[in-house]
Amino acid sequence: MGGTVESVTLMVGAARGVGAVARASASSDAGTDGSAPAKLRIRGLEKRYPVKGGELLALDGIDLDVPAGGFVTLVGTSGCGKSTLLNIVAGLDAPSAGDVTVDGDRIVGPGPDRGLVFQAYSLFPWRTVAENVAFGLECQGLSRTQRRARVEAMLGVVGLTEFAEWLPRDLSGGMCQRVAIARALVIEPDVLLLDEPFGALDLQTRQNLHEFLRLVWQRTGATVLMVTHDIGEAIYLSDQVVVLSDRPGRVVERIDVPFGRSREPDVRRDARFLALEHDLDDLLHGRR
Amino acid sequence: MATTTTTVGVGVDRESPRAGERGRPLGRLWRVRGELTFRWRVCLGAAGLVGVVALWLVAANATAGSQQGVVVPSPAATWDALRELHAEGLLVSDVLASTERIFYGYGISMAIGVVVGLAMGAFPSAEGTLEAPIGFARYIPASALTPLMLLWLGIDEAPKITLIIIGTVFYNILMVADVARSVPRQLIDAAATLGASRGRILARVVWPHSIPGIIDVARINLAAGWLMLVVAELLATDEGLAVRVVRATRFRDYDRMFAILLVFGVIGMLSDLALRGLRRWAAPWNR
Repeated sequence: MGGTVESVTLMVGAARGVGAVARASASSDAGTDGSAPAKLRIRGLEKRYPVKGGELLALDGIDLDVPAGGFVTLVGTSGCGKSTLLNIVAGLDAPSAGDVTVDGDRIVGPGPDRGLVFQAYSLFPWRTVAENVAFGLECQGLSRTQRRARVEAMLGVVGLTEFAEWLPRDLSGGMCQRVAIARALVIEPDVLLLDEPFGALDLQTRQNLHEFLRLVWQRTGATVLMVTHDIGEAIYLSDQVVVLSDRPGRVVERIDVPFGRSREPDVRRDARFLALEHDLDDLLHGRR
Repeated sequence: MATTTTTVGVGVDRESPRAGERGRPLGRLWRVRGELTFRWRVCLGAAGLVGVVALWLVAANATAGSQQGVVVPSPAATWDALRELHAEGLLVSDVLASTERIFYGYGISMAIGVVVGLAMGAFPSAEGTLEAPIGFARYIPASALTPLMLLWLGIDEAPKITLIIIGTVFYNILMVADVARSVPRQLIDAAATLGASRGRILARVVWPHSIPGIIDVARINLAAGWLMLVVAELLATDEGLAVRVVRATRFRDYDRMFAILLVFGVIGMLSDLALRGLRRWAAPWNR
């Protein structure tokens, strides 16, 4: 199984050289923001899966830029391949064609420069909150004292200092996600990838965590690529919302969110916010 | 008749015990996958043991003075035989000899099982290579290899320990591999995105997640280890619980035979208890 995936990647890698240049020049106008250089750059990304009696095209010609310090959100109905896209950026999945680069470096596998937060259940259940957050720092070979200082600081940021010695099973779902975000952020990744990070939470908790994420994002200046099917969440949190079509996933629309970086929850009641929500809803359901 | 059927509405549970109540009570002792209080556990556990002794007494009484040679020694006679064995100094030396064989044989078997099993569960290449040979070897009856063991390894401890290993190692490997395969994909992916190398994922994710499962495997297959011990001790030896059983049977000393069987059972129960304790101590996060 692993062998075939790797060989496919190799073949794609060999074929990539020529096509990538052509695609990159053809889609150079696809950038979100002319002024800021893209931190994360996706060009001509395709993903095909072998299925019984043929091939499934999951992602088709995705071009996407996330500028340094930017917050871009992908929205799409379930099964549009948006999680696949995130996994490819994380390096957990290989693209069938196309290029993903961070600061110009091609992604060939997972690495601590791209932190990934899953929807749920990704904490190590035998590790306390502090030990979970310390995992990435251990991988970097930091000493115990260095780790403790960084972990304590990060737990302060996410407001979990009192729970440092708790086990994940004793935490609520919202707290678990805060730990997962802290664990990904403490190693200061170039890009933070969020795969429906609040999808399994109730509305109240989700809105609390929106505030939390905005705060953390502004404090750390992280570059964020998030995937969600919650349109309101996408508008509220991001600079740009990218709409993906249903299978195969294609970029249907890129919408720059017309609000500044410092937003209050009230913005959800803004007429422009509501209009945008309706527009995106129509787009998602193919009514436009 | 017609009136009774109309009174039974949708959502009203007909098995409700009393009028004015709804729903099927889950019950305290019979709830499916329910949990017992500590007191109930102790009481029921004791009741089970008492039941066994009662059955034993009944059987012993029924066969007492039987002419057909059907003999079930009474608990009292068994107890006396046990004390006699102890007085002769055989009990302790037999237990030690057998336990030592199990300790080395099953210990080595578990060590191999953990290393090879984790490799098979973690890496598809290891699984692909080893699955067929192990599936094949697993079906070779280890007891049939006894003469070969004597030929290759002499008549000392080596063939006995080897038999215990061969009789259990393949089960251990395959079951540990299953345990390793049950590590959630997300934990491995999370570790990889946090910068963990392959070795670190194995040591810091697959291994800790597998500890409780591995202890369960050790617990379950230990019984198979004792089974192999009986076969192993049929090879030339003077000490050991199985040897004692065989000799007692040969001399129709059924009291003594039962006494040894009792010892087997007690050792099994104690080691089970010890491994349960180890599991709770080693993986407090897991239940």
